[in-house]
Amino acid sequence: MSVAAAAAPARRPFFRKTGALPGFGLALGYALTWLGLIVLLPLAALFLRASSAGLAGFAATLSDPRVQHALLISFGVSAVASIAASLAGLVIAWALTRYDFPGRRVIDAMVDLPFALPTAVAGIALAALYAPDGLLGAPLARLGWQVVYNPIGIFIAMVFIGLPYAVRTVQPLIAELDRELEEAAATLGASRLQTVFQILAPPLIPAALTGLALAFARALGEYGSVIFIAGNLPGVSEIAPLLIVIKLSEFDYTGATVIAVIMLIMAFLVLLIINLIQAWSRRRMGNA
Amino acid sequence: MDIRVTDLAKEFGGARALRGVSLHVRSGELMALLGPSGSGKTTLLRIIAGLETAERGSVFFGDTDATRLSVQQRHVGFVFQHYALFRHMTVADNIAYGLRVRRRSERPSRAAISARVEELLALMQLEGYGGRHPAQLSGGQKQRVALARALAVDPRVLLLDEPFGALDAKVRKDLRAWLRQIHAQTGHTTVFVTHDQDEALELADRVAILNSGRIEQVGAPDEIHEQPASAFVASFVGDAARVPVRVLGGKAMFGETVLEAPGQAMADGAGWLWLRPYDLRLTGKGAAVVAGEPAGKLDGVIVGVRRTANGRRVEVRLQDLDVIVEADAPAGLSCGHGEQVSLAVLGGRIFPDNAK
Repeated sequence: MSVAAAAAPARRPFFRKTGALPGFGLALGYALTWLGLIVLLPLAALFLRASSAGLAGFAATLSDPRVQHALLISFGVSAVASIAASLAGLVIAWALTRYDFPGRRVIDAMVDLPFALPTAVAGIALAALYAPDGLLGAPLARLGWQVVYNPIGIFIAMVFIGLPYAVRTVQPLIAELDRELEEAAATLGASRLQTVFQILAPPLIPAALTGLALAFARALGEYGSVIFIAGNLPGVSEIAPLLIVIKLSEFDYTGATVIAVIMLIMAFLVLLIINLIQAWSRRRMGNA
Repeated sequence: MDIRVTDLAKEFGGARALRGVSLHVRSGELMALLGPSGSGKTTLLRIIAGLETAERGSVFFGDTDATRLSVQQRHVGFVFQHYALFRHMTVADNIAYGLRVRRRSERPSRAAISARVEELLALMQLEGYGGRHPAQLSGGQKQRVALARALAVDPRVLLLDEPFGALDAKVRKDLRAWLRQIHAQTGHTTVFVTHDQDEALELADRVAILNSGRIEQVGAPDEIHEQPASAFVASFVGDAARVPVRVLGGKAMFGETVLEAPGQAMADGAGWLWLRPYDLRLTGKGAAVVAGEPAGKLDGVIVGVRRTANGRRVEVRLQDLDVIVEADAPAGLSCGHGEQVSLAVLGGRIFPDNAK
């Protein structure tokens, strides 16, 4: 009898948790429906369209130097820019969280501006500022540095839009860092530099990686703010999203979707790698 | 190494945390800083460690003037209430940290460091825990790791800020006995902050009582308990009730009753007599005076009886007064609620009225 009684609960469907609060089935169904309609269906359509090009079509598109260069620029500059944004974001988040200074709240609110600004507005503003006759561009031009209409311009725009992600992901963790940790390190004889790199930085790494991934994803997909400052010279400063738009305007839908699929797969791989590093560093933090 | 602080003063945004504190901690001594919250005890400890700077006064470790030394240069072991362990490091790495951050010329060899870690893990009864992360330890274990980490660098003095404050009662008691033992083995001059008087009285060689930024009394636990130097100490340490008295010619008058027992010299005037339960002997109403016992008695009515582990504690409301004193009832004496009783005053301390 007791055997039968013990075996009975095991027959329940495996994902069905008899929690005290109802609504699991409804919530999961709702979530899956929306995920399917909004994310998976369009992606499937994209793959379907691209597949009509066949392997040969993919190979031809990939071997086009213009496409290659656009992908290189998009992924390369996005990577460098998101790393730069993450490092800058760490410092900004630190300053905003750890110190109290006049105007702190205003600056804190301004961090979100790139989120809210229409990207075209940001692009025009950046282009006007850094153009050879712009406020910052003119003195830089006199020094012989041209920062617009080349990958540097793309970099500037991508850092600008990636910064809020980098700041906002690490900020709550910095707020959580106990001051006692620094004091403990100091009483043990650690210098300020040792404390920063050995005690304070490691717990922030997972969150900083999240920020990095978000900033990278945003930079990769960014169009509006980049195209004004990039100059869009094929083979120099043309980004992959722009190439997609160009292909679309030439009614080359298949070509456009092929580039899109390549971008999608590469982006997925990059994010997967960042996630793996994150999981590994979280395990190393010992708090899972 | 002894610690000597003189005339320390510290202010936090207008609030005075310390008002001229001087204290001498003898070499090898285990001293408790005891006081209510806001009394400045933690501030004092942090100034000794160099985690805060005083506006005035100086700190000496032996003959070394440490007042201007940085935290790193002071070479103290500090244990925090919430452990402050480095979560991303294993237990062994936590303990070794103070040795690993040293300059290459002063750093022990890798083998020496791991030998030291093993030795400390053994001392802390944490053998085999070196590879774990702090998140996998209980509170008591975490605090022992924190202590091992502080001891690893062989500090001049050991400072503990409410070391058992975050632990539950049972673990607290175990760790107390165990800290005593570690102290006996290592012999570091140790100062710990606590608001728990049992902890202070049980553990420390000497106790310093702090109240609103001043030291009220420094002394051995017995001294603090039996000869409180101020009304604050009398009320803060142990159970005590106060009875208003008039002092006349060296004698305390309670109404028309003369209480002779508290034989302290005191100027005439109003005062308070502080009575601990053992200062009073409960007798039936109108019982004969025992030979050798003072004649002064307080009359009252029993308003409560509590059974304790060791006897009966009786609460007596004194006649004509809204004062309740506590006394231990001798076995065999009936003490029902509302019964009339007398209390013989065997001891107690008198402080002038303005002291509280």
